[in-house]
Amino acid sequence: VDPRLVVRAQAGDQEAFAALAAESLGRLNAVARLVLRDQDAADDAVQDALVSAWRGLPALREPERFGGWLNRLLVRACYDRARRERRRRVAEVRVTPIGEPASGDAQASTAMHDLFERSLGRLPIDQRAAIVAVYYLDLTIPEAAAMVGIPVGTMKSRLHRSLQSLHAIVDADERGAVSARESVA
Amino acid sequence: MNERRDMDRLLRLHLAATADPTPSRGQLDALMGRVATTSQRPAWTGVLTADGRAAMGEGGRGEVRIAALLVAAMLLLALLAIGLLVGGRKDLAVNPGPVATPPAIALLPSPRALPTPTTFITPTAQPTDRGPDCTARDEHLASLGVTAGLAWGSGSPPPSGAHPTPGRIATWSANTDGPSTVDLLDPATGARTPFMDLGLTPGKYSQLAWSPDGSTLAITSSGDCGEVTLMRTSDGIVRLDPGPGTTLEAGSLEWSPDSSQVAVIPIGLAQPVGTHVWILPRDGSPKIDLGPPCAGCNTFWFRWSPDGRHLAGIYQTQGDQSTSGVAIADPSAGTWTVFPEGSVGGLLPGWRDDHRLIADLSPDGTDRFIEYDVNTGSRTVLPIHSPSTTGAFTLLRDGRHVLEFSNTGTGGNVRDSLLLLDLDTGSRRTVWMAPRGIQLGGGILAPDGSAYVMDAGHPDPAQPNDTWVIRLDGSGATKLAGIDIGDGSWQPVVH
Repeated sequence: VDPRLVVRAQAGDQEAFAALAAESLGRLNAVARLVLRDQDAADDAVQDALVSAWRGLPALREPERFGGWLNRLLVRACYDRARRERRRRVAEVRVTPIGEPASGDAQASTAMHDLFERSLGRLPIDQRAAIVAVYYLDLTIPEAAAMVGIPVGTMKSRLHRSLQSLHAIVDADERGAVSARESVA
Repeated sequence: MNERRDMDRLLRLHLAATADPTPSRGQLDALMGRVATTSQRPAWTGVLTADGRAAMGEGGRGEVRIAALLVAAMLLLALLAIGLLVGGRKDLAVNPGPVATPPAIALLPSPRALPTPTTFITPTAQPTDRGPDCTARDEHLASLGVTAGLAWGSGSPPPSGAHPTPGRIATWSANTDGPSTVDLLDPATGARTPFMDLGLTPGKYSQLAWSPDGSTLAITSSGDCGEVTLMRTSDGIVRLDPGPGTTLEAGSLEWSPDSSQVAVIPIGLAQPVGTHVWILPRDGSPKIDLGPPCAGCNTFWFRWSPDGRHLAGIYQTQGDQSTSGVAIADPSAGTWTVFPEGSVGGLLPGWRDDHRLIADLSPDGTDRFIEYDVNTGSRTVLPIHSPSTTGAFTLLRDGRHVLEFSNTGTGGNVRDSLLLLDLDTGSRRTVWMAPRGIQLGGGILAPDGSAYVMDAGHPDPAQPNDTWVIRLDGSGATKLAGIDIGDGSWQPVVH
């Protein structure tokens, strides 16, 4: 992010802010959709985060930290949206297209993608946010903790809990597949 | 097969493949439509001058904010006085256990008894040119009180063989609409005593750490006003200024065992690429840059060896084929020793008194406890399984026990537990099981290893967090209802 754009946006330049938003939109969309798993809610969260950013920009003292600051606003907006969505009991989940498998047997990779998709969907939102911060944005645990706004220790326990849940779901799925094969045999 | 690394790799691939960054139709236009009708919040522009008068920002807001600060400070002092008279919030303590009551806190009569809060410790004893933003923020910091009853002043190491007892826990009291403070929390009652005024920008401060001699609370500032603020209990606030434009990473502050220096991690240094580790002496001597342990790698979770001769942490290379391991620095020689292992476990590395390091890594796809001998450069994989059902957190100060976390169930049926693993025998015992539905997080270890403090969230995020003081002798836990201490540092009191 060009800090000069941030400085201009801080002074009220909407064109500069539009350029910042356009530059950040892809990353924000990806993160919000992974965390919320609902495209409409994710789009709303991204917009909430960017409007909050516009309102709060004059108070941002380090223009070069704009990206990290915006990530934090997005996580907060995702939590807010999730709370509202839960109240409305909207259960529609958009199934995102699965990309080309990177390597190995295509069928097995697709099955693994499906498995992850189901498993991630069963995690609470705070655990998904932790996983997205570390495994998608490639942040270190202290950076991820700062982004999500929790202590490092909490991020560690949250990640541990999420990976443990993923392992448990994958193991259960594999056990189910074996038992299905055995019953067919 | 290396299951853990495979899981990590597959998870990364899955997230990369399913992430959808495509803007929705008209997303940017809709956003800019809202922006066009949304006013920006004005920035805080008040700056105090040397004689305490306000140099005004636009529209007199600075004056109003300063007046609000003064009123808030007076209210806090009044609350302090009431708190001293009443003697704390004993009603919050349930199931009281044998956690020792910390020594009494003596408060100076007024903040004016303390030196000016703009003392900088630098090689030239002068603040560097930190720019107007940093200067504006500096003026908000003030000390509200100091602890007394310590055996010596700052700068002196504790006597040999001294054993610390738990004092109070320094923790944040963040307030989004007004001045925020660092409070001292009594772990027996939950009573809070304001300790430092952080002004209006609590987000600037990222970590608290008491020095091992209990004389000084260090606080790191994030952003490009990065510095280490030292609240000396003997004489107030001083600042370690590592230089202009410094940004310090959250969670990287580590005191040396003799309380003479702190290790911190600056962010974004250009050359050489990778996470550098800086050592800042508390007397303002020039910093030592240990550089990164390997080209381009991230490093974190540093711990000083008991003799202060080594600093060990975890490193992680970047990219899809990332690997992790242990990195041990010898600051006097300026060298690093690196042990590549595989992926990293959850245990903060810890030192035994015999200067051997214990870490939790996965050299073969399974979590292992590994012991590193810095004298011989050897490593030994301990014959103890670290199953995926438990997560190792912290090596206790005896060097023989590891605190672990375990959970079963989900949502309202979750049962979280703390376990103690004996590294000599491999046996585990449950120290405490949280009530059903309570999810534990965070963690602050008492200076003498007698207790561990965790925050407890509810499955319903609308419910406030509680704090549990868990006694590691297995005798139970004390709940501090409605108190969310989040991050903090437990003061050692050395008699």
